Amino acid sequence: MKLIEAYIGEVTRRLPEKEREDIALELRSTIYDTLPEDYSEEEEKAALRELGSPFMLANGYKNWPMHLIGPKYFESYVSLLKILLPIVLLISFLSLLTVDFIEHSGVISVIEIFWMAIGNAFAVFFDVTLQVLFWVTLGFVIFERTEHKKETIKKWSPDDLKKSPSYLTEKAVKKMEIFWDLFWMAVLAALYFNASNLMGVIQDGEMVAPLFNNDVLLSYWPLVVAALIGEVLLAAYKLVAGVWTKRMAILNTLQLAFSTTVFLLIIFNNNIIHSKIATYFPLPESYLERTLTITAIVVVGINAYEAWKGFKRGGQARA
Amino acid sequence: MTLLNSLVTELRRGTLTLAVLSQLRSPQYGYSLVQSLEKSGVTIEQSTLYPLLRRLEKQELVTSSWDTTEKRPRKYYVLSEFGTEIYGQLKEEWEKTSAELHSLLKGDESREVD
Repeated sequence: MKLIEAYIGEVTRRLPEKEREDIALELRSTIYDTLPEDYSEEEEKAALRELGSPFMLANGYKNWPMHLIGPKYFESYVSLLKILLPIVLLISFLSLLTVDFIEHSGVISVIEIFWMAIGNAFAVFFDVTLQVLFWVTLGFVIFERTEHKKETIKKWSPDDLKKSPSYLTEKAVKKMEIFWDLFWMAVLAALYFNASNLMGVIQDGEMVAPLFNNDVLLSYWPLVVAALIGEVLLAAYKLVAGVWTKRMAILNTLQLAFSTTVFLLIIFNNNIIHSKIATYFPLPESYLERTLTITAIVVVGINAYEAWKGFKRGGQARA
Repeated sequence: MTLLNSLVTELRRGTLTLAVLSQLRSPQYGYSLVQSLEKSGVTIEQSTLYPLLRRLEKQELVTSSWDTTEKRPRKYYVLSEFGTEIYGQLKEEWEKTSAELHSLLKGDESREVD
């Protein structure tokens, strides 16, 4: 009796909540069917042995993939990591190096600074690698689960080849474009998170007047992280899809719009510019405002152009 | 030997659905199904059968109902109208396939004799 309940528990705890009760009822009834009226523990065990391992039985009931990333996406997963990891590691190393260089220049030699940066790099590399692996894997797991659900057996025809990257060479997503997307993302992320060390007036290895109010700047981190994750997911999607389509152009535009909005929110915050910087650049306020406006226009312009380019490439793909 | 085992399993897997459907023209509960299959010499792991029954129900080939009149409640499965139709077609396919295979394998034998 106890063993049977334990067996049913072992099966059902591996199944979705809503199916548990029903399957438990069914199992209980079938197990007792195989047993005589007054059964011994030996007979009980024999009946359960007949059913086999609860793990395998639970697996039989499941109808979703039993792997994180299946063969369909594994290649894209690996190639995204191969592009992204070196970029992220290189950029984080370069920002470390720059920070150390600013801090120690003139005090110790460049070679010593270099070795010091390498020494500091390991902890940072570890952290950064974990972050990259986690977010990329999560993205692909979501792809895998959502694609699996709507998967239908579509008839393949040679015409499908006309939609493939090998046929649509002009609309094919190139590894280099993903590389540059991610490269700029990594550069901007490094600048953002190291702004207090990198951007501002530096004298004798000391940041005397940072350009930005670091507290205000970093208060935007959830938005910035969301934009970074969005960028990585978009890159993953581009690799998986392989060809520019209208849908990709729309997603691309959404991502560009989101990151541009975050950028604009940050630079048009009234407290974003550190007050100290004015003592080094005594310029009228209107000049600063104009600079910010021009920067904003340039950034919006570049991103609008990028979005338009996506539609231009995506549109042709339907031919 | 393990290779042969896995090939045999593979060979049988496709026929299990047909075997189960054939027994469900009249209502059956889990264990009675195991027994009636075994009587015809078809062995099916219980851990394969029960999930299969649920899948067939999801695919609307069979319907199920709980019989609570007896001492122990039992879940009965029976072919649906759609299931009966599919079973007929599947059976025809099987007969065709096995006839084809039969003549193929026969041909193989006679060639060996030559």
